[in-house]
Amino acid sequence: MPSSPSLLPTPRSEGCTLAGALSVAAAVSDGLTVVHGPAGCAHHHVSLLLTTLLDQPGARMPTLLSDDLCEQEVIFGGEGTLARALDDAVSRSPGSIAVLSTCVAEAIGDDCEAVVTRVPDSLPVVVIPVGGFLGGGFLEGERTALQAYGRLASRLPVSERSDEPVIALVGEKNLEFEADTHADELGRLLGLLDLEVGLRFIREAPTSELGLLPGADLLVLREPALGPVADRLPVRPGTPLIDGFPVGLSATIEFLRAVGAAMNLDADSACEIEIAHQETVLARFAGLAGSRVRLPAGAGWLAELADALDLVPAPDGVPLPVPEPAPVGTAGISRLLSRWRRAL
Amino acid sequence: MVGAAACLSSYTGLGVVVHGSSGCWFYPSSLLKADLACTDLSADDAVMGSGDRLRTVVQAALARHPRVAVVNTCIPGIIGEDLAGLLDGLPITVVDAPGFLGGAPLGHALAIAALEPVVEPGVETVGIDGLTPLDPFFRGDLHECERLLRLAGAVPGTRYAGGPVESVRQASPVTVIANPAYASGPGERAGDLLGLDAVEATFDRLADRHPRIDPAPVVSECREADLRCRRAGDRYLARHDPPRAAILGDGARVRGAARTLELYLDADCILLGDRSGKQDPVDGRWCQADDLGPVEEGLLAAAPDLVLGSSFEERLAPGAAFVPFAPPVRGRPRLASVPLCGIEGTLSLVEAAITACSGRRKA
Repeated sequence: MPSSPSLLPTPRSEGCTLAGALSVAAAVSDGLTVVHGPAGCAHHHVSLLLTTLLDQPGARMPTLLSDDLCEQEVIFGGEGTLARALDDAVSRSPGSIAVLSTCVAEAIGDDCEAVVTRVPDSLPVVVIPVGGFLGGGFLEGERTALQAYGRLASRLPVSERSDEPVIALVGEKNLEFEADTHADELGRLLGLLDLEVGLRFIREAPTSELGLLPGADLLVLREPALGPVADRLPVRPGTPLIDGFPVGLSATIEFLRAVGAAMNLDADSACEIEIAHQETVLARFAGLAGSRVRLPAGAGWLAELADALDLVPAPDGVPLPVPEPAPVGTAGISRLLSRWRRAL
Repeated sequence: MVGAAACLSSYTGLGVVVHGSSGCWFYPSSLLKADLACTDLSADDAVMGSGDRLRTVVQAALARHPRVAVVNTCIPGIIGEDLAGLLDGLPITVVDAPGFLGGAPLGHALAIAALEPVVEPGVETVGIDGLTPLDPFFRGDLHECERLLRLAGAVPGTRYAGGPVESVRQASPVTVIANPAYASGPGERAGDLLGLDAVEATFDRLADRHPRIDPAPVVSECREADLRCRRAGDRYLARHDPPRAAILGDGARVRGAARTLELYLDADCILLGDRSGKQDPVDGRWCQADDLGPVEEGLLAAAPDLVLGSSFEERLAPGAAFVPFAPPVRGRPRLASVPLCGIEGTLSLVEAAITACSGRRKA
């Protein structure tokens, strides 16, 4: 989320926890989200979610209720309003319910945990106490939601699982246009080791599937910053963890080796196949060799890629686009190189 | 808050500061693409008070604008800080419009009221009310209202909202209304311009009030537009059944569009919805449209083949032809200033409905 044009740039410009939490809660495919706050808060964020969904054909509109706190509730308390919204939510028979608090709910001191006890035990419910901007920014909201769903996962019945190991992707950026493309690339890489993604925690996963988390055999975090979240997930002690999706040529090979080591598999053959694939991709862009380019400093994977293509970094070179977040795996590199070729 | 910020941002000579968190600021900023400043409140400010920060941000905004409007949000509203007192001595307007008070039309009205418009009885201009930059038809409606007023010999006057902010202190004594849901200005209201019949009636009333205003050119153009719509409708109906339409948006616009589609396309308007949540207790076609749940149920039950609404309704009725009619309209470029009111608005609506329905049938 970009910062405001306020003339006072401060670390305050990190958006709203509600947006981050909603990006997680709305991704539970059979879930229903109750926003305990003014209707405008729900409207803002659904409108923004819709913008991202428009680029995804057939994407599901999340089910979201606002209990529409108004002046009356701000003065006299909003727990009764939340209770009525929860009764409505229960009547719709979702797979699970998430209750997200807003800054208004936190400021007036409503006790969401107490109100959700009215939900029947048979229906999983999770309170995500984000508190709007009072709880931090977008990323805090996302992480608080992941932790809340982690606690919920430990209470869910153990899902029926096949003998296949469960590899869980943790903390995909659900507002990222390329989220599914990145997951597909990880699926392709895991396929080289005869493995597959067993759980996306959380992206388009039904509630029952979240119960796979405690028994996961490997966690793959979207980015290293999710480490503190992973530390609190209810997994078995010693569950191996890879702390980020692979970015860059050698990192992709290292990813295969790390997965192999975690799963006690020999990754040599998979690495050889992927290296050959990378050479094929690079060969398609061999015509870029010798181009004078300008790239952001400090990213090792970019320097590695420039070197592999014989690009010539120079202060007066053509500035090349580098997306943020960085492209994932070899497929991400391939798409990036297509953009570079256009720029050059 | 969003309605207030949108309204104020459309005036020149006025800076806007959202007194709240960056999360609250992000939505109006992304919608309006306007220069909105923000105090970017943190939790510390909520506990310790935000006066110093507010004053600093307002002073920075005053370096770029002669006057600044401060739009209050939920948390400062709950804390109850005396914003006017904190900003004493500065040329500011405080708009107390926290989100929990209500929706965008209320925020818009609060902003207009805070600007303290003063009707000047001697002014001979005609104001334009019911304009908000949140509306996809904002610029189109403005241009169409101005065009029609000039066609009738009137001088367009104060806008609610838009134009120089000082214009509200010498406001036009009479206004025409682009979208009644946002009509908030003072003075006499001559009427809205939603549909050709409404245009004629409103200009007749203006002529009764102002001898200088001649409705004849407007009426003549209305008759010409009526013929064009009838011809286009006849051509469409020669090859297609009338559309079964669902229309969801601001109440008066919905009624106006339903009249127009019934008149020219013999449309069966099977589902109507007012964003304000009001329903017609007698007419069973009206659904509760301030909540997507009932809208989805209504669309499923009615199975319309033409939907006029927002991107939300477009998403909920993927098989139907769609005409953008209410915000948000996402996922398509909107560069031209398309009106919904006036003569051009009626022509544009009929054209869009025929194009959408024809396109759907070809697909």
